[in-house]
Amino acid sequence: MSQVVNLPERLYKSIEKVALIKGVTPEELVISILNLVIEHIAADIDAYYTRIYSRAESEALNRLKKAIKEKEINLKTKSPEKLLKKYIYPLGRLLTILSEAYGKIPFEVRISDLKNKEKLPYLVYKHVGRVKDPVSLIEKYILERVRPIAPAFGIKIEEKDNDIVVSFNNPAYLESLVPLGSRVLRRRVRK
Amino acid sequence: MKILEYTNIRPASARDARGKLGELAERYGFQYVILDLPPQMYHLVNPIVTVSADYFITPAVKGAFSDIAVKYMLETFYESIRTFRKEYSGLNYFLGVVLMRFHSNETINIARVKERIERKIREFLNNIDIGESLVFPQNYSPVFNTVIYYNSLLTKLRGSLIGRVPYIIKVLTGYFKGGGGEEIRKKLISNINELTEELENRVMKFVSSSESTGKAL
Repeated sequence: MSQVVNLPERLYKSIEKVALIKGVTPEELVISILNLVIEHIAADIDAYYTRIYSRAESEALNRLKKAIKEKEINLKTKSPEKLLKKYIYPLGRLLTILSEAYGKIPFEVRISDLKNKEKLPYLVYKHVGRVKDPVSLIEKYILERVRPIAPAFGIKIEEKDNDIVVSFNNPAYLESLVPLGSRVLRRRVRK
Repeated sequence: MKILEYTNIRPASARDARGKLGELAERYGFQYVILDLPPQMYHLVNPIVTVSADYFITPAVKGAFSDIAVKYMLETFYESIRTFRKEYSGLNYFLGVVLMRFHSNETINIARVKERIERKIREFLNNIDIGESLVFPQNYSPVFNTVIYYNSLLTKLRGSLIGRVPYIIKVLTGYFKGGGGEEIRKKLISNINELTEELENRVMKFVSSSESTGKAL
């Protein structure tokens, strides 16, 4: 979509002068200025997201290490990279999907309720990738990946008559870990 | 009202604020975090409240325009919800209006203002189809039964600058002994206690009603 914008005369004159000094046409100068501004904005946004992402990662890892040290949870894996890959990223993905499905992380989630969300397959595709059965993937995340580390983050997981109920002690705190699950953000940061 | 769409605050950074508040609550063991926001900058404040807070509550001081102010506040807030939470419903809960700065013997005035505010809120609800975007108290009045009465200590608080330890905390903990004696301090504490109890009751009612309907809080 293109749009013609008339520059004020004074501004155009100034641009013309600078263009004359630089030896380019006024149009080229305007384009180069716009490019420069956009580059700066993009760099700012990248720095902002990198900060959010790295902060969430270190926060989650520290919490997990503390919980292991205090024997709140018992895990075989000890190295930070494996902890991140096996437990923290799936937790982040689960939280991101929940926060986008409900608008914010609720105090309590029932899988039966989550199944009925129309957006769920799209959200799983967006944050995890192509998956055959999104609901079973989320069940797997909850039971295999999040359950072992649940006490460290104030999460309770209960199985009640063919339904899984996940309750969060402090959902607002868990929202600070949401950046971990965003596939778009992760790709952007790792570029 | 369209200005909300062009505001500087992005929903992402407001959500960030929610995460940070959650971290604070986690670190210090808070049950509730209360954001006290200035009413003069609705277009900046509303996006933050819409995205980062669960419940909201507004004071109404003794004055001729308090009922109209409450209605305008609700309208702005509703507009902000429509902009920032287009796809979601039932996330923002309005707990009610707290009347302030009345004298304890002004029962007729209090009843009159209460009735006016209720009427204005009803007017707002009738004119706009809010659906489930903003949840209102249904089984009880949108105006709190507790009234924060005029107290000379509170008047003093309004004029004081915020230091490392807020003045109100000094008053409540008994560190500050001046400002009219022990009786006034006790009155203020009992008034605040009453308000906290009612606030907690209202929050719990919302929690229990939403659990039965299976809605997200």
